[in-house]
Amino acid sequence: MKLSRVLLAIAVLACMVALLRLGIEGWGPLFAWLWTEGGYDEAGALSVLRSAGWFGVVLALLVPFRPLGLLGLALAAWCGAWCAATIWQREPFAALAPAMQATRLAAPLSLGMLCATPRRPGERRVRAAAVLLVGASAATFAAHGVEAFAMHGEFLDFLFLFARELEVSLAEPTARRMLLGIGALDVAVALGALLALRWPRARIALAWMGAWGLATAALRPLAYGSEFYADFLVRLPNACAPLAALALLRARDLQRAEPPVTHASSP
Amino acid sequence: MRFLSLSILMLSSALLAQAPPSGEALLLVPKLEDSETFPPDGLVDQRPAHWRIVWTEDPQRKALMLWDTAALGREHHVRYDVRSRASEGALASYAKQRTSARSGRYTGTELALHWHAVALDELTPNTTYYFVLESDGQRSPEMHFRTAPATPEPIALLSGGDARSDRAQRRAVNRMLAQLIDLRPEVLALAHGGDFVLWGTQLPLWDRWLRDQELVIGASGRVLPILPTRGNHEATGALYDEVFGAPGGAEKNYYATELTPEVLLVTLNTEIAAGGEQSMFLEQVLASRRATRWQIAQYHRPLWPAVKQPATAAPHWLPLFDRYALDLALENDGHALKRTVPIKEGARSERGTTYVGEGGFGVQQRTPDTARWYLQSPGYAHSRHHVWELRFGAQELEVLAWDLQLGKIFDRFALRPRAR
Repeated sequence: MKLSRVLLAIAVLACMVALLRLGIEGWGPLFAWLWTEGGYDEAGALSVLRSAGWFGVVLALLVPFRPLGLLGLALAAWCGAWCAATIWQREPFAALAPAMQATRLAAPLSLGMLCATPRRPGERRVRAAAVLLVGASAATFAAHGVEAFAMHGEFLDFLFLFARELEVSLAEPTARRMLLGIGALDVAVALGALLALRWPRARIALAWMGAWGLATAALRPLAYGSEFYADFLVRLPNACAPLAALALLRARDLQRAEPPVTHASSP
Repeated sequence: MRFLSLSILMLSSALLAQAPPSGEALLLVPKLEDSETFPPDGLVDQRPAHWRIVWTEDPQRKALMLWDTAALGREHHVRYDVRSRASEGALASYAKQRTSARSGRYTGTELALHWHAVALDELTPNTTYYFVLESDGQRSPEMHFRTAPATPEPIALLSGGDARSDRAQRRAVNRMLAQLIDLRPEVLALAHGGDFVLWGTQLPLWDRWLRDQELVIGASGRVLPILPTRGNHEATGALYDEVFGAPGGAEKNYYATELTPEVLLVTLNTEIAAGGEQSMFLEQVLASRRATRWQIAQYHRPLWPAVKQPATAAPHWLPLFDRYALDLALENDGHALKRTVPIKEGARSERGTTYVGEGGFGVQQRTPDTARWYLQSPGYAHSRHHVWELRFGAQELEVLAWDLQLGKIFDRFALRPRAR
């Protein structure tokens, strides 16, 4: 369970640092919302985002050390505000934002649940955290699968850049077929992750999610340059959430395998 | 004390270096309208409205004429001639007539609006055409536009984008563009860099943009054909293609326009995959027209931004811009006025491409990050509504930034033809 908490703490802190960076620069949908609909001028919107961003970072640092589940809820609300602004912005696939950003919402919530009061694996709150993380990871992967089926231009561009790095020629029809395959794999892995709650062999799906989530998050700074580090950090929950779920499920197994504690009884 | 004096001296030098060049105001800056005076949404009858001319390929001989009416109607015509027939009154006096090729209802249920598109072809290059749009017996005022020349001749082009919000400011900008039409008869067309509306899937927003665009007309009735670019605020939905007649093909929306034998404008789409077929198209166009004296590109999201992060198209297009020595790139989306130093292979180079932008047709302006290396002198970045005027001559391409808050020219620089 300690490993889960560490993974989630990393994910939440990374996400908060990314949102702070986006807020300070005035990038992203929440700035656009504050500026367009919120009645703020540029300086006011930036000030709100900067203050809230720093607050988020401080809370993220506090969560692992303070047994307050509410801190996790507050961080999830902050991520939820970004998610709502993404829907408001109505860019392509915006309607999928709650699913695409599910790991970002679930990571602070489950961290809060795990840190609220130290509990042994198997207890109701821990089990709920595992279910939440698995569900969120599945939602995020399924949504990205749908994006891939819809031939998201940015995804295609990653394939073209990858092919260029390998110095192989990649025609667009081939890239589209590859993206269909990747989308199908994402959806299959999402289903596999849900099965992992009942069937231990399906946990390989969670391990795959961790590796794929890390690779795809790292693609942004690798492809576009180090200034895209926030794009990497904000996607780190896509890797950490399934791995944290995996660690929680493993911990539950170990607890079940432990011999029951027997108490000496008087004759 | 010496340190203080030195600091003040340095600060004042820096401020002077950033100060806009003073000049005479050539455009009248209109007073911002109160929202209560905006025209009502929608159309009520068959009088042709929302007129626009779209250029994509072959602007010497072709033009797509589009307009809207409240109902679908039955008969839609464009009547046109090389002489004005306004004083004669009768529609029959126009030498030519073209019946609507396509009509349809706009996607969306918020308003009952119908579009009509007539493709004019076999036009004569470098010729002024007077036209009237007619729907079910009702007609528009007579307007006119000039086709692009087929011979190397000096022409000018306006460029700008980001008209999506702050309607009062957008209408003021449009009134100033109308003044520019009268002031600059050599301006042929308007290259629009996208973000026409806040939400590209909402018909009432397009209705307002189209209504406001009617203000971009000279006193004599001259209108500028539009070369549209898809922006992120209209990245999805069918309305963009319905409004502009699917420029460059539905949903693809990238195309090359030879404005004269010496001027090539490539319009790209940052809202779809930048690599693959779009990059191949860009490379094929730039490679096959190496001899064209001036090569410029327009697209929405900036590759060298003054405000935001670089567009993800950058690794796909920048190598091509460098390889084929693109002269000028017209960028948008950032909501700031900017000009970069010439850039090649990610560094300042006198043999590089200059990037200007980036979006000042009414949308609120952002505070740019002036510390970025590519915005250092002679580059700059400021917050002000603006339009770019590109004046293509035989010896140089003169680029002017019009400050639409003061009505004067803010910046002027020239590019020389380069060997490719």
